Parts: sequence; structure tokens; C-alpha cells
Amino acid sequence: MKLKFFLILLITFFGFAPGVFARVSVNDTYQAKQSQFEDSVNGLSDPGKKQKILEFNQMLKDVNLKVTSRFDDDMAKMAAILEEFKRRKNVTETTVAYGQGDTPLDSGAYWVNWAQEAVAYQKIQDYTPYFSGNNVSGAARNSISRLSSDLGTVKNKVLTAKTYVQKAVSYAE
Amino acid sequence: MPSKFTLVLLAVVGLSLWVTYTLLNSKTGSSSLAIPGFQQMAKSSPIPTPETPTYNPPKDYKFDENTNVQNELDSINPQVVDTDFTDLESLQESF
Repeated sequence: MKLKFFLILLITFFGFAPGVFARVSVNDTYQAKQSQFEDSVNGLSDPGKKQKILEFNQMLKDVNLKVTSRFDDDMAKMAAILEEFKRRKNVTETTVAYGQGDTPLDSGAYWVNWAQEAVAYQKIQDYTPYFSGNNVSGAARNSISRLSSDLGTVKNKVLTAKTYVQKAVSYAE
Repeated sequence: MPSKFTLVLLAVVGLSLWVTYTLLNSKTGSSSLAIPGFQQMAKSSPIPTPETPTYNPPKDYKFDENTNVQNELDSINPQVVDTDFTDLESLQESF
């Protein structure tokens, strides 16, 4: 009886283990969605429309990269400003891993780091217009809307960082 | 003298260890073991094809004591402008 129970347990384990332990990474999900997108594109009967949707998808990536690269420049400039102030004030170390720090310089460093992370995260976002059937236009509009909204959010984060850098500058001067 | 039950148990445990070892050491995922889902577990994710244009790293800003830092800070003006989306919107309208 015990043996039968043990064998059933063993068979169950090996039957389900691969499924349980199979790891689905973010990349797997992305690849699956891309594959789904390609299938949808291939399902379009109009070759011109196919070409346009692929071009549109690439353009979304380009716009995201273009705008986030501008933010990158802004953040690099802010970081350099803080570095210069630290140098002028003989501050040799500002390590703010958690929390916002004790001085405006610490806070500035924290918020610059926070905004830099937001920009880096935005850069890898996916705005592929996933559509079903012929609803290409709606999906495309949705992608533009999401991209615009997300970039606006990141812009506000960059501005928040700028506010704290301004406080640090005012404090240090 | 071990009982029949102990012998069977030992055989089953030994077999389980062997199967587990084979599973974990399979490099290709195309083992002859017909366990559903195993191939999915062992197969690595394909590397995404880079579709984005070449990424330009941010400029390397370096300031010194002669720099008017306030001016540099004032010049930072993050924008998301309508023209960023002009081409996208005109293409979207053509669908």
C-alpha cells in the first residue's frame, strides 16, 4: 500500500515537475508577444498595410529612444552639476542607496539616481501595437497614447530631479 | 536480509536519482526521455534581434570652477513635444 502511494507520488512529481520548474522569463513573454504580432501582421491581406504596420512599430521604438536619449543627456548634465558642487564643497563621498540623504546634496544625488533609473526603464518599454483582425488603427492609436503618456511621466521625474538639484545648488552656493 | 519492499524502494529511489541527474545534465533538451514540458524547461530563450537604431550614449559633461552651474541647470528643459509624434500620427491615420 505504502509502495503504491510512493510510486504514485513519484510519477506525479515527474509528470508535473517540468511544468512547475519551467521558468518563463520576461524575454519569453516578449518573444511570445512578438511572435503573436508577427502572426497578426502576416494575417493582413493588404501588403501595403503590412509594410506600414512594421514601419510604425519601428517608429515607436525610434521615438521612445530619441526622447529618452534627450532625458539621458539632461540627467548626465544634472549628475555633472552635482559632481562639480561636491568637488567645490570638498565632499568626497555621497552614497545614498536608500532614503533621501541628510543634506540637499545627498537628496539631489538620490533623486538624480531615481530619475536615471526611470529613464533607463522607459528606454526598454515595448509599445508594439498588438492587434487582432483588422483593428490596426485602434491598436496603433493606443500605442501612441501609451508612449506619449509614459514619456510624460518620465519627463516629470526628470523635472523632480531638477528641483532637488536646484535645492542642492542653492544650498551649496 | 533486506525485505522485498526495501529492495523495491531502493531501486525506485536509485532510478529517481538517475532520472533527475539525466534531466539536469541534459545540454540540448532533446533527451529521449519523453517527459512533457522538459524541452521547454531546458531550451534557452532566443536572444532578441536588435531592431532599435544605434544607441548614442549621453554626452559626457565636465564642469569646473569657471562654470556657471546655475546657468547649466537652467538650461535643462526636458520636453516631450508634439513634433516627436508627428510622423507616428500621420502614419497611424493612414491605416
